[in-house]
Amino acid sequence: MNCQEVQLQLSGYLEKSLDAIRMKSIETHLSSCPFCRAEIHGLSECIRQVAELPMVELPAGFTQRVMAHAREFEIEPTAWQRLIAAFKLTVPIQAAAVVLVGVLAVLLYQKDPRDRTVAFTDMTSEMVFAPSLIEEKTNSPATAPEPSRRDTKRESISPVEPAPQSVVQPRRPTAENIVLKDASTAPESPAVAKAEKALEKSLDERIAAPRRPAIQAQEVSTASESRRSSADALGIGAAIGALSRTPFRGAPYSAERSLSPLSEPSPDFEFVVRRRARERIDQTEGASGAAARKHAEADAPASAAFAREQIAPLASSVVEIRWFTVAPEHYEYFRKDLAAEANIESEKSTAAKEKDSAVKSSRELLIKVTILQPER
Amino acid sequence: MKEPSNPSESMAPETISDAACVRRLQRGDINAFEILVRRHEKAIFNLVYRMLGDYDDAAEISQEVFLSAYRAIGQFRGEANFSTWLYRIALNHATTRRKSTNSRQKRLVPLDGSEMIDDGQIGPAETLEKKELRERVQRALNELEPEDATVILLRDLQDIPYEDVARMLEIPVGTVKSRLHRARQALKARLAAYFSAGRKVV
Repeated sequence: MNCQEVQLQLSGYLEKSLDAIRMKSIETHLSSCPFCRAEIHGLSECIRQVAELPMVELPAGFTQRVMAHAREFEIEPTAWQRLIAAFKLTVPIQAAAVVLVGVLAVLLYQKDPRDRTVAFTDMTSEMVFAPSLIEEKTNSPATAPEPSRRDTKRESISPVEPAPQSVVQPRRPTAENIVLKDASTAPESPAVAKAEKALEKSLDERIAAPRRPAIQAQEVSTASESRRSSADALGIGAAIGALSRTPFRGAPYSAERSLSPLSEPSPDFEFVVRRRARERIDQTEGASGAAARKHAEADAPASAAFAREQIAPLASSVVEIRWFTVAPEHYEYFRKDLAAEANIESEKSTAAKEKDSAVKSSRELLIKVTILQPER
Repeated sequence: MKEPSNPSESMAPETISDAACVRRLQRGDINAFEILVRRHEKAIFNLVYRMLGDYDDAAEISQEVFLSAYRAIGQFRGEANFSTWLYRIALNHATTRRKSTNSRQKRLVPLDGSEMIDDGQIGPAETLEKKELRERVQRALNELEPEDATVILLRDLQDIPYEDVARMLEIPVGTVKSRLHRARQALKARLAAYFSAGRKVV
C-alpha cells in the first residue's frame, strides 16, 4: 500500500470500520511512514476536538416559546394527506395506476388513427369533470337507496341529454363523443365493470386526490357509478360543472341537490317532457359542441351517421327525473328554456296557492321535471 | 404500539415513541408536539449552534426548525424516522442561514462566552486554554463549506451512524464517507497551524 491509498482510508482506519486485512496493512504502513503517521495524528486530533465541543444549554424558555408559537398555527394537512397518513395507501394507488394504464391503452388502441387524435381532445374536456365524479363516488355508500333520486343527481348530464351509452364503444365517432361524453349509463362488459370496481375502490380512498391521470378511466367507470352515487355532499364545483354544460347555461337556477334522499319533497311545479329525436337535440347543443361536431363530421360524416343509428335504441330506455330550484322571477325563463329543449307534455302546478305565497315570500320554486324517452 | 384511550395523560412522555407522538400530533394533539420538542431540542439546538457559531442565531433558527416541522407534520408520512426528518429540516434552515450570513459579511465567530460548561472539574487555567481551542475549532468549522461542516458535525459531534447521516442528507453512504474524509482533511488543514505551533493539545 502506498501513501495515497493509505491516506484515502485513514478515516475508515480511525473508525475501525475497515476489514481486518486492510487494518493490518495500514498499520504496517504507518509503522514505517512518518508522513502518514503525522497525517493520522492530525486527523484524529480533528475528530477529537469536534467530539469534545461541549453541549451548550438552550436559552431559557425555549420550549415555551416554541409551544406558544405553535399554538398560534393550525396544522393544515389536506384531507387526502390525512387519509394517506392513516391508511398508507401506496399499494392501492399503484394498483389503480396499473389499471388506469390498461384502460387507457385499450381505449386508445380500439380507435382508428384518425379518431385517436381527437380522443385526446375529448380527454382534456372530460378532465374538467373528474373532481366532481370522484366526489360523487365518495358519497355513494352513505346514500345508496332510492334510484330515481340518484338519477337526478347525475351531475354532468343536461336535463334533456338523451342517450345513455357506454364510453368504451370503440367505433363511436368523435362528434358523438363530444355531445354525449357524460351520458355514460349503458351497461358495460364484465371486464370493464371489474376494472371499474378496482378503480373505484382506490379512488374512494383517495378522495379528490390530485392525481389527474386517473381522469379518462374515471370517466369510463362513471358509467354505472353515477347511478349508485348520490348527492348529499356534492361540492359547488360539481354543480357549476353540470350547469355550464346544460342548455340552461347562465340561467339563475340550478339542479336541486340538497334534498334529503329519504323524503321526496312536494314540488311547486311538475313538468313531464319528452325528449326529441336525436337530431333535434343535437341542434340545441351548446355552440362549442356544435362547432366541434361540425368539424368532426366534416372529417368523418359516414361514421357519425353510423354511430347515431347505433345509439338511438339505447337512448329509448331511459326515463329521468330531475329537480330544479328556480327563483320565482325566473320561472318563465326556465319554462322557456325547457320548452326549447324538449316537448312539454304536461305541466301542472301542484301547489298553486303555495306558489303565489312563494312569489310573495321570494322563496325558490322547486320544480320536478320528468323526462320521457323520445318517440320513435 | 398500544394506544391508550386518553394518551395525553395515561402515559409518561418518555415511554411514547416518536412515531406515536407524530400520529397523535397529526390528529391534532398539540401535547404530543411538546413531547417531541423537549426530546429533540437540545440536539437540534447544538447542531444548529455549531453550524452557525452564533448563539442567538442558533436560538432563532432552532425555533424556526420546530415550527416548520409543526406546520409540515401533515406531510410527514413516516417513511423516515421523525428525528431524521427533523434533522433534515434543521440542516436546511441552518445551511440557508449560514450562506446568507456568509454572503452578508464575513463574520467573526463570537466568543463562546454563552456556553455553560457543566464540567466542574476543570481548573481556571485549563478552562481558558480549552476555551481558546474550542473557539479555534468553531472558527475552522465556520470556514468550511457548509456540506463539509454538516457531515463532520453529524458524525463527529453527534455521533450519528453513517446510514442515518446518508438518509438525512439523501446521499449514498459511500458518498457520506468520502465527503467526511474530505471534510476532515479540510478541517485539519485549518487547524494545522495551531497544532504545529507546538501548542500542547489537551
